[in-house]
Amino acid sequence: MKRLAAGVAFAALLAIQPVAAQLRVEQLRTTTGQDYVRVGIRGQLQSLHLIWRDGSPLASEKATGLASAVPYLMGRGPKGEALGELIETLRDYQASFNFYAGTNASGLTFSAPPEHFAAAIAILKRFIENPALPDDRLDTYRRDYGFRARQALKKGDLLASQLRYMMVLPPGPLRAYHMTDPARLDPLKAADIAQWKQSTLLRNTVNVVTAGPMTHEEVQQPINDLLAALPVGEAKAPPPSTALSAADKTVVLEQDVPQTIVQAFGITTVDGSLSSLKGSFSIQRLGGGAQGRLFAALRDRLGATYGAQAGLDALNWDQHVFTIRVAAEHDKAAAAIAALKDEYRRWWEEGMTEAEFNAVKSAWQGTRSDTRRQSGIVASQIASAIAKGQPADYFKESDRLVDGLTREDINAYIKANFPRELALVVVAPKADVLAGACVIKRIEEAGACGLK
Amino acid sequence: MRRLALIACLCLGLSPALAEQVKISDRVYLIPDVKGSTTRFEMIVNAGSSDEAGGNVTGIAHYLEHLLLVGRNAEHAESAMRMFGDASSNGWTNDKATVFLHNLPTRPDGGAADLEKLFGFYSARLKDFSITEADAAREKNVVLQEHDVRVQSNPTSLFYRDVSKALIPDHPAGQWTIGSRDSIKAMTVEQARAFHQNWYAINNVWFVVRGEISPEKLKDISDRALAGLAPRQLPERLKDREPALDRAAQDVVQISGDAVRPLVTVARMVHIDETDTLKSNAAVSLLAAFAGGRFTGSAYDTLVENRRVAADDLSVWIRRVAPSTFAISLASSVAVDHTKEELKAAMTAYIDTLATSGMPDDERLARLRKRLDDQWTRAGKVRLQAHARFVNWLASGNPPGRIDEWPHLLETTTRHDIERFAKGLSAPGRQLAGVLEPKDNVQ
Repeated sequence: MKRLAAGVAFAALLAIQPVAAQLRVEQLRTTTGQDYVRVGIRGQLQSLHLIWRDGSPLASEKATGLASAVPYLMGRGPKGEALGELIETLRDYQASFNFYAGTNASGLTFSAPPEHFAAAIAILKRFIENPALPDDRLDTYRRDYGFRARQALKKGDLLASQLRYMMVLPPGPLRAYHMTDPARLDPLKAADIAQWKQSTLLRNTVNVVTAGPMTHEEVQQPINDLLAALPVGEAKAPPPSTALSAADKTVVLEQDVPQTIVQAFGITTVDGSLSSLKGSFSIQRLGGGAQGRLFAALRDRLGATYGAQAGLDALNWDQHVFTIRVAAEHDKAAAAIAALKDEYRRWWEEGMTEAEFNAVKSAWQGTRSDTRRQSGIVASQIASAIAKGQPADYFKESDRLVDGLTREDINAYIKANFPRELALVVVAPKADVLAGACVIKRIEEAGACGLK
Repeated sequence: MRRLALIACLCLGLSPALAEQVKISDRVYLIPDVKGSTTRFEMIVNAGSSDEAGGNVTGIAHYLEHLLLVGRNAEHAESAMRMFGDASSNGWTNDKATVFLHNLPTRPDGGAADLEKLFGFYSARLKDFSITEADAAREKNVVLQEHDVRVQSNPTSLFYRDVSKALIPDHPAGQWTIGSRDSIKAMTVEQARAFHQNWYAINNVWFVVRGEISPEKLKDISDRALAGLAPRQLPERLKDREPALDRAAQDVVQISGDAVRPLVTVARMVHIDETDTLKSNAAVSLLAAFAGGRFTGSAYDTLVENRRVAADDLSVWIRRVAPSTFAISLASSVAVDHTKEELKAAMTAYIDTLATSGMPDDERLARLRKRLDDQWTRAGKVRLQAHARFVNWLASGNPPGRIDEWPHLLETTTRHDIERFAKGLSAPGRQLAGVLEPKDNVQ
């Protein structure tokens, strides 16, 4: 009887609170006339994402440092207040926030439990209304940044990435944004961050998305309060587009590194539309960790590496470079490169197998519930979608797309959007790991390989 | 009965649900989740690198994790990492535990068939494991590559590994789980089998499942799979010995062509009597939350914001090393316009005065108690977090039955309790300073 009662009660529990198959996305307006999107999600945190179409870091090569300086300096707190105490108060509230400035958008993410949401917003508002933006702290940060960048440039993987960016991007702000440069912050002053804030964080050009358990009645006033701190102004023009260069070279950088670093890459036509999901889908069993072909070939069969990753690196919302990354044992590096190229060629020519396709579709469909219980992810995903001109009902539309996919769709997408051949950058102690490559001993010699 | 009452209340909507763990059997627990959720399976072996033979960490516990995940066994002829085509699988090893985990998509049957397979597989793995010579050799090379990714490629990792060993030379707590290049190359399958024989016993493992599967169904699956597994006598745990504190520690100085600015660490290890590990952990958690935070009087406030001798990469660790043995360490890059000697002195002074300027006042102590309690309570209400928290609890060697005591332990930890630890850490102990110096000495 006890067992039956437990079973019935348990079944009732599950029946009452299933994971929502679909999120309910509402387009609402606050009492002050601010349009916003609300997604009701059971949980402990209310998340808020404010996003502005913007490309401030790409306004010039000198401006690229904004991407790092904005979160740091905006996070230094309001004038005249002890930053440490503010941070601890936010921790008491279990609240957190972050400013960002990227290639296509600037924004602010925030989360707090419902019972502390308004109080934490009141603190965040002071960060925005009256930021300290201390020049002396920026100076310290600038020098620390320089050290970290020089430190990072000792690593083979980052050196390979530098060459990769030089190959696909012409000189200009977008290249400067992605490459690591110890002097990146040198041209910036606190006044530049102030100017970015004044011209970007505007009440009339923001997209607002919130997700969590708070109702419209509960959440709109804190949103009103926060946005009241923002001025009104003109929308910014999108950043200029950048024509990519051909990724058609093979370069070896001779360096004393513990493992041979390989990056195989190529320009795709995967864009920022909803259909870019097909691109992500298609590489899940080329990369995809232990389930992927690269893992099987390079780790299982050759034992050459701990792991191989395949991903779409976003240069910006609309331009993606497909990149395979491997750190391989020196003695097996040549074999690993050959295997990697072979696997890619087969994947491109033959596409996903039926088993691979079905497995990825099952995995994507079967793990949606985990993502949709996390308010921060939901708010950010929808905010990005809206800023890109996609529907606010992003999850419903993406589900529809994935549910309707066929293997033929994916394999046609691969051929249409991924390059047939990959360029290669290798960082290794000896150049003979890759025959026929252009060999350099320092990044500064890249011009010898036709890279500017 | 308490569980039944809770479930009944949930059905009646009488109170918000806490995602409690449900005890299915002696070694099996369920974190119930709602219909439509994914399923997560974990086998936690309460044995990690600190349990390796003779207290000498070679990386064998971690190597065994790899062998179990890639070996071809009767229950699954291919790698266990690909047991399900649409799932993700992995493992991890630290000084205390080895954990095998599988994330499964939502299933119409609530995950029952998958769990049947997993319990069958891991039940058999508690008896033995199969690995070919070729696979074992290949996997050893994979572990070597993992070492190179995590340690060899990173000058600070190499540095911290040496600092840890210098601080605690005679105890496994001072050695890194992955081992060294030389020790990895020397590992054998026989050593892995010996570790397996010592520690992979039903009385030394836990199974934790999060998902929509019913307790009854899970009990049926696990009881059948685990039947016939007899408990074994476990070896003495060397990590339960206290490391020596009487010998002077040797400072560590490394020069690296891959470093661009000096990195300094000061670490001190001391003896502090304790009667209850969890009570100690509660006091240490509160002290660490203050010292490692941004309050006035914290290490960051003192060394980064005010004195500006430390760069903003300052890290603070306060931890329990072994029974009645605790350590504090501070590490950061040297701030511009300051020297490593200044930073070393400032870090040492901070530790020396931990019991006075490094202690929270009553108001801040109350805030920290409430904060940690809020975090704990909140995590308990989120099933994904409740699951992760319970797994970490068990993997740390804590008894499952005491997890509910944690909020009470925090609440009843007094200022005196925390002061005892602060005073202990600020008293003389086994101390060393470490410096990672750039070869070019660029500043």
